[in-house]
Amino acid sequence: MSEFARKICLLGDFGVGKTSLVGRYVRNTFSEKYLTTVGVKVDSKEVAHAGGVSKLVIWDIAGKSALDHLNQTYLRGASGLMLVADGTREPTLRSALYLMMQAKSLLQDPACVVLVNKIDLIDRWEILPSTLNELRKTVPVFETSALSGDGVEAAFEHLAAELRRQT
Amino acid sequence: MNDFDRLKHLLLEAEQRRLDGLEQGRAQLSDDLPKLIGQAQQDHPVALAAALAHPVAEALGGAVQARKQQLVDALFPVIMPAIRRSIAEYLRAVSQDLNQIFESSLTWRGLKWRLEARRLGVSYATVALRHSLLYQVDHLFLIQRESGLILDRESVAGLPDLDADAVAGMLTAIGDFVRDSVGAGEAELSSATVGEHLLWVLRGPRANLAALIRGVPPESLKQELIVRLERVHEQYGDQLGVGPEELGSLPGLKEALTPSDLKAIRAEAQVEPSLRPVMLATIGITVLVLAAGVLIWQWQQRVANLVAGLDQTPGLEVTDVSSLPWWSISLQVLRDPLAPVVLPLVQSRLPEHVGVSVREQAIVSAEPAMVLERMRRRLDLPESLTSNITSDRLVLTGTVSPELWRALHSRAQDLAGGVVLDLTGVQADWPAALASLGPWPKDVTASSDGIRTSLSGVASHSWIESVRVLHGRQGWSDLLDLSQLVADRSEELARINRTLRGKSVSFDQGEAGDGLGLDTLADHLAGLLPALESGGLRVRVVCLGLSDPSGAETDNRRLERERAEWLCRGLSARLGNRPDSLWQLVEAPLDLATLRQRAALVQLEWIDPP
Ligand SMILES: Nc1nc2c(ncn2[C@@H]2O[C@H](COP(=O)(O)OP(=O)(O)OP(=O)(O)O)[C@@H](O)[C@H]2O)c(=O)[nH]1
Ligand SMILES: [Mg+2]
Repeated sequence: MSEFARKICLLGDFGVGKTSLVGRYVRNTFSEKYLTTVGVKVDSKEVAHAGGVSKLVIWDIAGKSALDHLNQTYLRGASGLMLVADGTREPTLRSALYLMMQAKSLLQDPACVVLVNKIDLIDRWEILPSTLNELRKTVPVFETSALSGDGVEAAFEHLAAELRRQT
Repeated sequence: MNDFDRLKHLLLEAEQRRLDGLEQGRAQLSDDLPKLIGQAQQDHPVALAAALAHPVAEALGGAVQARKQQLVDALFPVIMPAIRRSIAEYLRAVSQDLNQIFESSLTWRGLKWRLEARRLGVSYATVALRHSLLYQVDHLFLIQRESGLILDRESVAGLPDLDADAVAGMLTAIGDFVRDSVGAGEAELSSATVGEHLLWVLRGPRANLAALIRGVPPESLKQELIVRLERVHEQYGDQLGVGPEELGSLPGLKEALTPSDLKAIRAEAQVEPSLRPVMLATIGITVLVLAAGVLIWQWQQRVANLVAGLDQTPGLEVTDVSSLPWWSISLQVLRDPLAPVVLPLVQSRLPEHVGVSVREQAIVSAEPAMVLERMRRRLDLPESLTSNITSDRLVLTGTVSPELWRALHSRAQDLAGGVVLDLTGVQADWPAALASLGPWPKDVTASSDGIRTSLSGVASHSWIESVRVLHGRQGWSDLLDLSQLVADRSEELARINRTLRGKSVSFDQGEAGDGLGLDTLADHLAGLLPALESGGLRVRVVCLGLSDPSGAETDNRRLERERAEWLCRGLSARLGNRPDSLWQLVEAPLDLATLRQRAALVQLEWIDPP
C-alpha cells in the first residue's frame, strides 16, 4: 500500500448493469444472468498510472431510483461516484441524474462520471444523442457495455484520474 | 447547481405533474386502508384471518425463497446473541468435560496445571482451557468507520491472499445495515462466523477493529484488541475520520497495529499425545530404574573418589571397601601414626546420613612424605629446609646448624626406612654458627667436600684463636678444618706498639744521660720479644727521641737524636745479644710529632713482615 485507497460508489436504477460493470472491470467477466444485488457488494481494484499504483474500493450499491436512509450511509466516505443508466430504458437516466443530485448533497465535492450502459444494444437505444450532448456540458459521460467491455476501463480510469487530481 | 436545476426541469417536469395527481389518490387510500382493516377485524375477525392466512403464508414463503440473503441479513443481529449464548454454553460444557478428563488423568502436565490453578486461585478447568484452546489471529483490520476504508492491516504470513479492502468495506456495510435495520445502539455486529474463521468487530468512535480468528480465542484476546483500538484512537483521535487524501499525511498510521505485538497474542498449538496407563507405567518403571541406576553410579563414583583421595594421603592405604549405596560404608585402612585420622576425613566427604565405619591398622609407612614427616618431628627440622618428594626419593635442600647437619647425616638414614635420602643439598651454616665471635673476616672462605668444611684465608690472630677455642669445645674436628687459616700479625704488633707508647722514658733535666723508667721498659721488652719471635719471625726494636716545643729547632733535633741513642744503648746493654736488630731513629715519625715532651720511647717492627 503506497497510499490509502479511495472509495467510489456505483449508483443507478435496478438492472442497469452496475454489478456487471464491476465484474467486467475487476474480474473481466460477464454473465447474462441477472442476480439483483441485495444491500451492497464491495470490490477493490488496483489502478496503475504514471505516478504509481492507487487502489479503488468499489461499492456496488443495490439498484434504486432514489437513495433511502441505508443507502445514504453506504455513501459515507466516498470520494467518487459512478452514475449508471441503461441506454435501452430512458427513465434510468433520469434516475441516475436524480441520484447524482441526491448524493452530491451528501458528499463533499465528489468526482462524478455518468455511464450509459448496454451500448451493445444500440438498436434498442432510447436515449437521444442530443440529451447526452447536453449532459456532457456538466458531467463526463461514457457509453459502455459490460457485455463487450467497451468504454468500461476508460470510465473507471477517468474517475480514478479525477480522484488523483483531488489530492 | 444551476446546471443541475436546469437539467432537473428538463427531465422531470412532466413526470412531476403526473405524480402529483397520483399522490392525492394514494394518500386517500392509505388514510382509509388501516380503518377498513380495523373494521374488518372487529366485525369478522375469523373471516379476515382466513382470508389473509393463505396469501400471507404464500408471500412469506416466496420472500424466503427469493430473498434468502436479505432475510438472513435481517435476522443476523437477532440470531447472533443467541448463537453467542449457545457457544458460551458449549464452552462451559467443554470445560466441565475437560475438568473430568483431567481430574481423573495423571499426566505430568495435568499435575503442572493443577499446581498452577492452585497458585493462581482459579479453577483447574480454567487453567486447562487456557492451555489447550488453540487460536490464531489470521487477519487484523483497522477500518475507518465512516468509509469502510482500511487504515492498517496485519495478516499472518503465508495465508492465501484476501481482498482486505473489499472485506473491510463489506464489514462496514453489514454493520451499517444491521444498525439501520435494528436501530442504533440496540445491537451491533460484534462477532460472526465466516467459514472457518471467527470474526470479531470492535467498534471505536472513528475506527473499528476487525479480527479474523481461527480456533477458539480466550476472552482476554478481546481485551487485548480493545486496548489496541483504544491506543490507536488515543494516538490519532479525530484525525482517523479525515478523507483518504489527508490520511496519507498521518505518520505511522499504516503501522498503528504494531505487528510485533500481534504475534505475541498468538498461541501456538500444544498437542500432547494421550498416554495410555500401560505406557505410563512402563515409562514410570523405566524412569525409576534409570534413576536408581544413576544414583548407584553416582555413589560408586563418590566412593571411588573417596578411596583414591585416601590412598593419595601420605601414610594411608585403603585395603578394603564395602558399602550399601547412599546408606552405609565400611573401610579397612592401613595408617601411619603420623597420618590424619581416617573417620572424620571420610565423614566430611559423604552425606551426613551415611553410616561410616573405619578399621585402622597401624603401619610405619615408607612413603617419602611420611619419612619426611617423621624426620621433621624427630630431628626438629627447620621450616627453611625445603623438600622435594618423588615416588621413592626424598631430596632436602637448605642450610642447617652444624649440629643438625651432623644429626641428619648420622640418624636420617635410619629414619628413611628404604627411601633414598639425598642430603647433598643440605649445608651446615658456619657463618651463623660462628656469628657470636664477631664479624666474619672478609678474606676467609669456606669450602666443603660434602662431609668436612675447610676455612681458609687470613684472619686476625684473636678471631682465629676464638674459633679454635669453640672448635675444641663443640667437638667440631670431624666437621671443620682450621688448618688453612692464617693469622694476621701486623695487627698484633700495632696493639703492642700502642701500649709501648705509654711506657716512654722521660728526661727531666733536659740533657740525655739520666732518663727515668729505662729498667721497667727493658723488663717489659724482655718478656715480650721471645713470645713474638717464637714462630721464627724476627722483630726490630726502633728507638725514638722526642723534645719539648721550647728551644731552637736545631737544638731540639740534636737532643732528640741523643735521647734515642741513649735509649738504644741502655736497652741494648740490658737485653744483650740483639746487635742486628737494634736501630735508632733520629726524628720523630709524623704520627708521633704531636707528642712534644722530653722523652724517648720504643716501637716494634717485623723484619720482613708476613
Ligand atoms: N446486453 C447487455 N446486457 C447487460 C449489460 N450489462 C448488464 N447486462 C445485463 O443486465 C442484467 C442486469 O445486470 P446487473 O449487472 O445485475 O444490473 P444491476 O444494476 O447490478 O442490477 P441491481 O443489482 O438489481 O441494481 C443482467 O442480466 C446482465 O446480463 C450490457 O452491457 N449489455
Ligand atoms: Mg447489482
